[in-house]
Amino acid sequence: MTNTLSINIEQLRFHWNNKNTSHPAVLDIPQWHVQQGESIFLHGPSGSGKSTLLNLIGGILSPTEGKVTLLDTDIHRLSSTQRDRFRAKNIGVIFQQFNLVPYLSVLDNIRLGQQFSGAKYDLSRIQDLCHSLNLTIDLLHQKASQLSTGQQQRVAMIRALYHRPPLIIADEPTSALDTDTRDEFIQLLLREGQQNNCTVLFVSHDKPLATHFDRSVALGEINHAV
Amino acid sequence: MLYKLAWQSLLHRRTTALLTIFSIAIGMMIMLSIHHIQQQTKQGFTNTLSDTDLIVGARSGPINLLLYSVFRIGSASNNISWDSYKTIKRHKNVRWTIPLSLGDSHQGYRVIGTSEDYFTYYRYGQKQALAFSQGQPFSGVYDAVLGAEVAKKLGYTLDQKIVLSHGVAKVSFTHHDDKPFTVVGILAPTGTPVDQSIHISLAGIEAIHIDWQRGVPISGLTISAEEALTKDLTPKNITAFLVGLDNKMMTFRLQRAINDYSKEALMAVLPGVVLSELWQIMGGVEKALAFIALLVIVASLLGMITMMLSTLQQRQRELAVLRAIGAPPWFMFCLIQLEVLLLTLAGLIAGTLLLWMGMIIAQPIIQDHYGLLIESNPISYTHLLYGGGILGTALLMACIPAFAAYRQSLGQGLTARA
Repeated sequence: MTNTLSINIEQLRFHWNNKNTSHPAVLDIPQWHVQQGESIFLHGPSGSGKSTLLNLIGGILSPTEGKVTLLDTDIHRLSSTQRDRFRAKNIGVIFQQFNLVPYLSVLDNIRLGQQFSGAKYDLSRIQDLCHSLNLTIDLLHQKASQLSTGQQQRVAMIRALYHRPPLIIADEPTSALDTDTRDEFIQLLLREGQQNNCTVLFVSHDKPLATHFDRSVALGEINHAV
Repeated sequence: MLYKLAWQSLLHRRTTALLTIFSIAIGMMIMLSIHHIQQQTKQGFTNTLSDTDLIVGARSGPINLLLYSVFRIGSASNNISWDSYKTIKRHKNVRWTIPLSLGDSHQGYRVIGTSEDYFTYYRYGQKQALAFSQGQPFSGVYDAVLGAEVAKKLGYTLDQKIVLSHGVAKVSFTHHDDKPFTVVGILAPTGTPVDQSIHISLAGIEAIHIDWQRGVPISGLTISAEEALTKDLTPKNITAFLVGLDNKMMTFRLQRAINDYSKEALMAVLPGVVLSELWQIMGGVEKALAFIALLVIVASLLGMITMMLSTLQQRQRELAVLRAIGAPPWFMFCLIQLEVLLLTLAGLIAGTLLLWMGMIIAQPIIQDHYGLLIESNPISYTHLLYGGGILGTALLMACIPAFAAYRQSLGQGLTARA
């Protein structure tokens, strides 16, 4: 584990209406940072701004004030195309559900991510990842829509991990899974994250999951907005 | 990858995609077939007659005269006298004439009474002369020369005896069965109504009608074929004749002289002028059809655009995934455009193939009815131009759903709203 900062947020304020600051701020985070390689459990009630924070870190939304630095890059100084490229290269994203393009094969879904990230194609790496995530190789040639939700989430994990991004954002990735698969999924994600020295930012409202992580953060603690 | 995505996405929605392709194909087919048939018939009509300066017949409509004398469509309202024909034939500027006597048929193929000059002076296409594939021109009264299609369709060869029927209907009840004709020659194919004609001498026409009056056999009077030969077989009248001049400059002068001919109501027309009159009449219909075809194309393109737009809602998750893994918004724009491109291209190709198949089926039917040989391959420069125009319009219209996808993707956060 190195001492570089993975995520560094300074004086971040975000209003939904950029021009009209009389709107109450959704997020007001004076200071928050995450070390490279840390696994963070971020929780908070729905509507508390978790998704907004993820969109700011992912470079989809721009802050009203302040800055978000990822791996020494102030991402909101980049053009939107540069931000898309930065996200493809440096951030692996796993959603709650529907992570895959349904009409493409599993392999093509993984390759889609690989191509946007600019990483080289390496089938043996995909096979290795399949192996460590308990997915059989023949699954690669099935249509994504034919897989179970648990399998789909693990394929999404392969796609997120494939190009060894420094940061993985997982937004409630286990809420569609049953308890057994959920625990297995989190363990696999953290193990693979650790092996790749990857920061994992895991968002959930399911507090008991926090025990798996290095650090648990309630959004309310860092967000000073009412 | 973009291509694979577009292709797989269409395969995934193959029913809608196929229906869209089919509707574009129908639009394309209608548009092309109108253009193709129009162009081919024009060419066919123009190719039928070459090097003829004037067509002379009884006074009626110029288009009617052209249609019955050259294209074997319709029939003459009146005949012209042999004397008038001889007078004009002797005119100093006239190089050749081809007399035409119509009104009989064989198995639905029209019989033309003419002179040997028909085989010497008749020109079609690019001033091509008629050629014999077998035999020679008629010399005897009861000799017949068949057009290529007649011989082929009826399976006739040289020395075949044929019986002519009175009138030009496909089914005739009065036959000239007492005076059968012998096939002495078969013409090489020309792709013009000549192929659908049976040629006999004017004397032959006279002979089969020698015991007839006003279109019916004179009762109680029968003159055998041999007996007829002893009679005077100079025709009393003919239907029309074609005129070739020594000097094209004299065409209008002779035309005026014939139109002013005092002994009989005659009419002389310039084939090229009449043809362009005919195109003018057909022009309005063509324009109306082309407009309908255009509407069909626009309707099918609109259908495709609506389809793309309405599926965007279903594809919201897919767009979210693409966005999350780093696809910029213009990637979605291109994806939609590429899908439209693939659909339209497939539609255009399918439409062309449909038309091609249609033409292969229609070709013999058109040839039977009008004697015109139509090219079945519809691919031409204009066709490519139309295709390009439709494709361009489709891509332009596709900007609507493509831009909607762009907007949707831009506002799409890193979460798939389920």
